[in-house]
Amino acid sequence: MKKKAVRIQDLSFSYPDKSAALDRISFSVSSGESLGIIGPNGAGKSTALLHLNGVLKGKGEVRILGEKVHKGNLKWVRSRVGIVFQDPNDQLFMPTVFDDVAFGLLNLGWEKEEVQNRVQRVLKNLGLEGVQDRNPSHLSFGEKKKISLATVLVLEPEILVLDEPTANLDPGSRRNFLEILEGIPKTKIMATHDLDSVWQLCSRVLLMNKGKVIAQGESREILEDEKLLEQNNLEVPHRLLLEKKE
Amino acid sequence: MNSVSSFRKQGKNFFQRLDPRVKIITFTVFILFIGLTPPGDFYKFLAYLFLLGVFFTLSSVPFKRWVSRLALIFPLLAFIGLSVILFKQDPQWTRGEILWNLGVKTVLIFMSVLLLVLSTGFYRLVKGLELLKVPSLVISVVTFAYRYSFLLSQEAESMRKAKLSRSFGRRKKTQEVKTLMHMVPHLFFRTFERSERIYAAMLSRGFDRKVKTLILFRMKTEDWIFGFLFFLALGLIRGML
Repeated sequence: MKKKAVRIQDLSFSYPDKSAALDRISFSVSSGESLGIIGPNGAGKSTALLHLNGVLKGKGEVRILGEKVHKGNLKWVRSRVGIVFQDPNDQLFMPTVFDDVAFGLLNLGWEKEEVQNRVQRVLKNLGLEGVQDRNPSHLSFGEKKKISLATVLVLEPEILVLDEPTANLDPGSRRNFLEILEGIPKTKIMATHDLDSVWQLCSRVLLMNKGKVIAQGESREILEDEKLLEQNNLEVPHRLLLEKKE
Repeated sequence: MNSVSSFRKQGKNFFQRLDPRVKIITFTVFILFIGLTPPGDFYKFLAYLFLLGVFFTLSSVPFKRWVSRLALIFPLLAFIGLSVILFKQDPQWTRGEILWNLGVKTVLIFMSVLLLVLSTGFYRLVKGLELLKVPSLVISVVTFAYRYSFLLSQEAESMRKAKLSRSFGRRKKTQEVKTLMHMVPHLFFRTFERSERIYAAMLSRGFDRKVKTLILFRMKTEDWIFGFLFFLALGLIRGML
């Protein structure tokens, strides 16, 4: 049986205005597995993701690589769980691309030479060699998205978490980004409305709505269930519809 | 944002490369000297201005850049002037004397702070403050205020474009003021929400409120020489003029 990379048990969370965002959700992700978390707007997907690295703390248990997340091990958790945020403008806040990608490494206390080597390596792997001295705000959205990914990959986390990874990307950039993600052999958790990308990348799916887990199972089982998806403001991914027609 | 702020850039010339601790200490003393100089010592103010001119030249900060930043002081000077004209009560000083005293000191102090920030870079400056054992709470407030100011201007620009897209020709001043009054709280709320998301992103990459850079700050001979010459110059100005 594969080791659990992530285990969430009876997690509930309410925002300061008392609105319940999560209501006793439970799920787990095995090492090396890709899980797609789907659901309509306001389902609690992003809220759930922010519990994985301790940015939010609700009632219930969150375990990362077997360790319960608590105040004392947040630095370790955040080095193991890398979150790519939905809007790259929220993730890129330094004067240059190099600084943004190096930010996490510096916080973890890496030495200067290792920081420079790792930053250059990850930028090269993502085809971003020429932009390291540029101001991120001057780059295209697609480039910013890749740099956001770089800021997390450079830390070599074991678990990669992505919040709406393909949002606002043009078709070409989306295709390119998904190819990159497909090539990353890590445990992946992806919260998204883009069900075609879930179909492409994820072996398992978790459907959420109004802070609750509605269904979870193999991707095909959930994504083919037209009635279930429509009840939750979603629809069968186009790729699956095309496959069915063939 | 200033490219000198980068974690690894040392600065283009010796003035930019000076240890930030030396610059913070020398400029803090300089500002104190300016503040404590009696208003009648006109030649001292002239000497301070000359010293600032020399440093601006050495710093290689583009002229256009610091002039545009200097323009920010005019609203403050106008406010000071208005306050003095309307509320002056001290019988010992005339309005003119108070205006001169406050005005010249405000301009010189503002120029000093501007020079310090533009020639050092924000992150080097904040690292300097941290190395000088300034309380971490103060540093956190400074860094967040700095980031917040950029967010505020970005959100303001975004709202301005949205407003223009739905504005058709000139409107009455009262209507404009009313719209602005509605937009301002909204602007701060949006900026606050965005700053929360950015803070979450920073925490997610291990941010622990400490300033980390790739540059190792060590006092060099040129730092000591600069400090010595700076205090010598101040001493000469004080003694001779």
